[in-house]
Amino acid sequence: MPKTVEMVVGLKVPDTTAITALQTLQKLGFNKIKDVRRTFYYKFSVDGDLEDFKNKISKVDILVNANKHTFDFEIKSKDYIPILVKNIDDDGNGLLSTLKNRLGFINLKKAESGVLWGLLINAEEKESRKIADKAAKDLLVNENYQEFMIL
Amino acid sequence: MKKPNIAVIYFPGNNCEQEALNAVLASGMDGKIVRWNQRKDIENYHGYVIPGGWAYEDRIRAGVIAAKDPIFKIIKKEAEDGKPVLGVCNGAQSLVECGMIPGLKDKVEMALAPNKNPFISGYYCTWVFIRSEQEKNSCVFTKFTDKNEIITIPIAHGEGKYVTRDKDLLQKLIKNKQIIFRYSTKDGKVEDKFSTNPNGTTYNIAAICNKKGNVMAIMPHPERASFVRQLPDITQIKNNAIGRISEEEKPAPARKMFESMKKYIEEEII
Repeated sequence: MPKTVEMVVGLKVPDTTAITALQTLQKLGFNKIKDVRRTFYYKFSVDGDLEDFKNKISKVDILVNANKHTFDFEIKSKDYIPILVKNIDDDGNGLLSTLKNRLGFINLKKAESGVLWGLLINAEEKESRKIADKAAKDLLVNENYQEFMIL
Repeated sequence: MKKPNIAVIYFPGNNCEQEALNAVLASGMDGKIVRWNQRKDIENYHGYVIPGGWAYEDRIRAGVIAAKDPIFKIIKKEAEDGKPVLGVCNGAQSLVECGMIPGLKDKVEMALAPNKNPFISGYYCTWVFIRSEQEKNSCVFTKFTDKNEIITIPIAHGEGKYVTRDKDLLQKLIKNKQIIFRYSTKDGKVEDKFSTNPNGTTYNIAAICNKKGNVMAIMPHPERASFVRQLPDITQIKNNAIGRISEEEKPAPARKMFESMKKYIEEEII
């Protein structure tokens, strides 16, 4: 039975996309949003030794470049509302094929990817989630080809 | 007679503004590259071209940050008053992201999603053929283009696949005659397979206009196919002109979109 591994990859340098998202959201009137973070999200289904897989996958330069990326195997959102955005028709087969056929991850069964946004919102939990939902629909997601989930 | 005056709207990251302006000027119009933050008097122009490139580095999604810029509110208002707006490639993505295309509801009804073709993922750059779907004069940009006319034109994009989640929208676009150009073979056959359909776009759509016909989003680049010299050597028209500068400087078929814009402005706006 394959096991699931989630990995988030962030930038060590300032993320200009996240900064632009914050500035644009504030211009659109989302004044309670105080910060935006962005990480790349990967989810893998793997057979065999998970620790060995984690060790190897974190060294694959196409996902993690140690010079500019940080990575983690759990989503640590702290005060940020996490919003996971995926492209609806991205079945992950391209990434799976690259990792499996070119880079030797033969125990890999499935790969998914997306963008994990984090919104720091100055409001109570319930209102924050409402604001996050609206921010996603107004800017972060085009629901004609993407889907999102507030985690 | 006063010449039509066109604003080519430049956002940080665009890279086709000069080619777009060249096509505007070659079509007999006046024009100027106007920066996104020079909004003063923007409404004095007779029409607008939103050029290609990577506005704001395509941050978040192609065209979305530009689409949220205040200048689009002015352009939208001017378009509602009948002025023509042509969005090319990244400009087309912005027109879709701001809801001006297809413009049937006051919301974003479509997306230009990442290309899907069996061989190449991501950015794809090549020459293609597009077929005019509507009768001459059906929109502001086809006054000189016959129905079923084939135009050789380049594409250069990573997100050119028109998609929608609205199951009825495609039929509405067909019924409203809003689909202006579709990708086809050299002979005008529309086949939903690579390489005729270079990016997996719905119904082979290359260009859509609004219901009124004065705003068009086109993924291929007409400004890069406006002079014979810009065409690839494989085309008959270029082959015949090679070595003769006067022939190579002549207009190529895609320039008709700009000339059509000029005619419309002279007839309806000025």
